[in-house]
Amino acid sequence: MSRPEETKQQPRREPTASLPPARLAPGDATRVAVEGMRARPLRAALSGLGIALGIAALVAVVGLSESSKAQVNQQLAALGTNLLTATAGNSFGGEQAQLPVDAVAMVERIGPVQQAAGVGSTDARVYRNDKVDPIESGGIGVNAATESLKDTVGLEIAAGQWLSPATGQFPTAVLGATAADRLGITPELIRSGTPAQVWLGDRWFTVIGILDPSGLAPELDSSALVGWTAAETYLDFDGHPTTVYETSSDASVEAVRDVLAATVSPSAPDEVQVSRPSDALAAKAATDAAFTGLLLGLGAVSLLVGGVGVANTMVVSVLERRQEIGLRRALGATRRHIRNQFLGEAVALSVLGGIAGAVLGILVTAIFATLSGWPIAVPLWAIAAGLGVTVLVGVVAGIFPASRAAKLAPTAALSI
Amino acid sequence: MSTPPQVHAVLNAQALTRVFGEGGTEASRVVALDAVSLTIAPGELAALVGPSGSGKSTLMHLMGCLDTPTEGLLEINGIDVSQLDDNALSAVRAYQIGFVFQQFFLNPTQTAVENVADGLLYSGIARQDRHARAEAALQRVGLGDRLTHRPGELSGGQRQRVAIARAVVGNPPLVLADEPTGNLDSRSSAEVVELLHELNAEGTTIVVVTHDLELAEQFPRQIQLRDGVIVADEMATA
Repeated sequence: MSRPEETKQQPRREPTASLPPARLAPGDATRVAVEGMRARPLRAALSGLGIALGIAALVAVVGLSESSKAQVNQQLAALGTNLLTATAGNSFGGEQAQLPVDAVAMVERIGPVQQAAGVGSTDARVYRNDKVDPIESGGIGVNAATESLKDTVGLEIAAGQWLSPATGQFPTAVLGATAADRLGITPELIRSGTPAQVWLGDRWFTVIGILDPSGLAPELDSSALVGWTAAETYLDFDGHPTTVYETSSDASVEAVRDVLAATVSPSAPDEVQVSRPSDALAAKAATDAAFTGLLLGLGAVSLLVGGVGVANTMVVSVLERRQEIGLRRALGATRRHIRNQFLGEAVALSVLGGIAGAVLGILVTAIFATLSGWPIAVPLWAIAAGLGVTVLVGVVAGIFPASRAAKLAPTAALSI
Repeated sequence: MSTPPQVHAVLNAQALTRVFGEGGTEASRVVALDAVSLTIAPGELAALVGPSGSGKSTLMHLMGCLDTPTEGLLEINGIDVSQLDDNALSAVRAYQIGFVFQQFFLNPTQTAVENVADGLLYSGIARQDRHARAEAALQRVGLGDRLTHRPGELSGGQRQRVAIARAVVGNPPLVLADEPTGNLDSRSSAEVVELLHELNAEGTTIVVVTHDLELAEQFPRQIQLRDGVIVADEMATA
């Protein structure tokens, strides 16, 4: 008899004064919106799952990126940002430039400079023993180092000791962490007091110490350091430093930076490269941003898919619940009441998924950060933004099904 | 044709017409209800009876403000509803009309009290008051001992009584019951019919819509509909 979905244009007329409008209290509206979820908990959980994964991905990505940044910042705070290096670059002709022999002493004379040290590369190579093929140098450089290098760069000794004025004159070496590993000399060996020797520059050198990996001067990790005098005596070192390290007060870093090149090499300041190693660490944190952007994009895609899932669930729900809609209309619900009910249900589904996702994301961040030895940092704005987005996703996903439910004519909804 | 129009009629229909498929071709145009005039006085218990296709469902939808007439006048409790917009019709349904359906339409996850209280959901009555009135309504239909039962724990007849309680919980001027015994066995049917009589005796105006003449004859007034027109309107001489 009656045709479903048939709507007729009605002349608008206000109800008589004696007739109050149909009302639904806000608390009841909320209860009605959540009721559908309670009736079908499994479906609610599954359709919220997509949203949960999306939000979890977003929160975890932001959390991990923040945690790693916090880790770098912690590192920077520990290492300090007041270290500058001046390195011999290339000369105008393209050859390796040289710093003057007295470069370290001149840097020490700059007012704000607290400590200065020099490292000079030698042509020598280092091997486990004298039987190793000379070609297999293992990429380990042999550098002369001033005694002030340890404190200037903040090197930590893993085992043994640092070069002293006495040991620096004799064929002794301190190995960087990577160099020691490649040469097969462990900190345990040094600690045990067993004399450890390496074949360095066609002569046996005694290893007196091993360094921890250096945060600010990673180039030292793969080098063998010998005393300045010993290098000149045994390795034909010409006494020209390759790199000068210096520290000053934080406030004067920029001022020192301006004069460092000219001080180190007054005759050819252009050939000197001045850098701040902490900048490299900071840059490492910044490069993560590109990666973070990519992962955020992925999270956004899964959120979108989750939104489609919610919309899909709602469309099915509206189809299945025609009779409920019809009954509610018969009980006096207006179109707006019906629309809000389904819209509210979509938002509730989405937000519930969002909350679960945020918890999951925080958990993932906490686990990963803990395993990596990072501090756990999940910014509150990321959680707030995530939940805000889920409300938006819920509204967008719910609008179409909800308006379909609202448009359903009561007679059509009640007919089976 | 035996009841003259009254001043305070619960329902007053004059030349009520409902045409489907208007604007389409002549062949698709169906006159479901053709200038029906009908009055229901307060306190009546009437059956609207007719075979399928007679227009009784269409008339019930119009009486229940679920649909609007193509032409004619329709007043519910003195309110002209023939030209109201959707929101106003919703308000009329919320305050003036109670529905009983063949399939009960109870929410299986809610208790009897909650289901009955939903009859007042869209009237802006506080939840506690709704529940108090729902309990009273369940007492009225004889289910005072089944307040917290869910529909799944009730028999068919009990379910329909819950649905009837939901229809009368707001004391609406008009209760429409669409095939109220259609899904029930004969014993439960008899109980429901008896309950409708009891509620009517307490002053509720009820119109039962059915295709079942035998059922219709158990009520004081039978309005017979066929092909969209009233063919008989008989009052039993009680």
